[in-house]
Amino acid sequence: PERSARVSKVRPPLHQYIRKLLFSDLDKNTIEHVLRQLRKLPWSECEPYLLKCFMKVHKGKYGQIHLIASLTAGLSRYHDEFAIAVVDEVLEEIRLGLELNDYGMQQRRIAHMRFLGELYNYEHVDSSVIFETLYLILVFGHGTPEQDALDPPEDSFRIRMRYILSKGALPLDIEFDLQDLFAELRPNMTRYSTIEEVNAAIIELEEHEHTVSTDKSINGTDENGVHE
Amino acid sequence: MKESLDRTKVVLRHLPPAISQAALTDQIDSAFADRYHWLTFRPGKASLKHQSYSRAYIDFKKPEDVIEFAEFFDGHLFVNEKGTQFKTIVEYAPSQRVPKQWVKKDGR
Repeated sequence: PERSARVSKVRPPLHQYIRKLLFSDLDKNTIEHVLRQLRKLPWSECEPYLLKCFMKVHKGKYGQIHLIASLTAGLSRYHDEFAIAVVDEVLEEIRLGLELNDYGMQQRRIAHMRFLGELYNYEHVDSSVIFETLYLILVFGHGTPEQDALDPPEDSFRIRMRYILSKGALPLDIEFDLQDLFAELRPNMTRYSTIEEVNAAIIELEEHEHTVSTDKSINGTDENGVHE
Repeated sequence: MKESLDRTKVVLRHLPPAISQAALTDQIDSAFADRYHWLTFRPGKASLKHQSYSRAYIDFKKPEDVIEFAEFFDGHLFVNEKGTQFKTIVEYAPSQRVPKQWVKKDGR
């Protein structure tokens, strides 16, 4: 059948070069080279486009995301403003994903969570930000009129963004993912299977902390408070 | 977790997609000029297919100024040429980091 030729997007040469560096050249052997090439760019002109490309972590391979985080760290030395913008942007993307809860965005939401984690590994995100983000994922939209659209009861997607137990029985793939996660991170941890068990454990923990903290204040050794 | 008392960086969300940085800073500066040392603007996109809001990050000099700023701008309605209303949200930025004032110039 006759149809007009597809008009392909024409990008300026500099943009094409940035895309080539990030999306085809970048791997663990070339990262030094890519970083050097990025530093040579005319920054005032390229910074917005570079930021846009860094947010496309979901287009590459999942195992490559740490390379983008590493580049962010490498660039921060001379372009601190850029590294900060990357963090702000990822956090906004995560938040936006929760607000829209669009099925088509799931893959990129996972990639953005991974990216945030990698940025933490490269010390560009504080642990408090990680905990606040996990908490946001836990509570976002609950108790509001939009709850059913934002996080329906049978929707287990956010578990992939790390939350557990407030839903019923889990789909098998997610259950396996969880088992892998625990095996890797906390091989000796007991996993609770009901909300009641968790509550009991938390109460016990809180009582324990309470006794510890009263002990401490009696002995006047408050300084060694809990760090994570 | 940082106490709200020492947080100075805020994010303005849900700004109109087509608002210009100049138009926004004019509004902010009418009441808050000289009270922040860093502002960065992220333009949104007004296209029909993928519309996105504009955003701005501001680091205030004093934590108290944040409160006053939020009273002024949180829920503030921006109206575009077509009469669409955009209700601004002011929040503490999740990451409180701001760029160092003096960054080494890249010798490359």
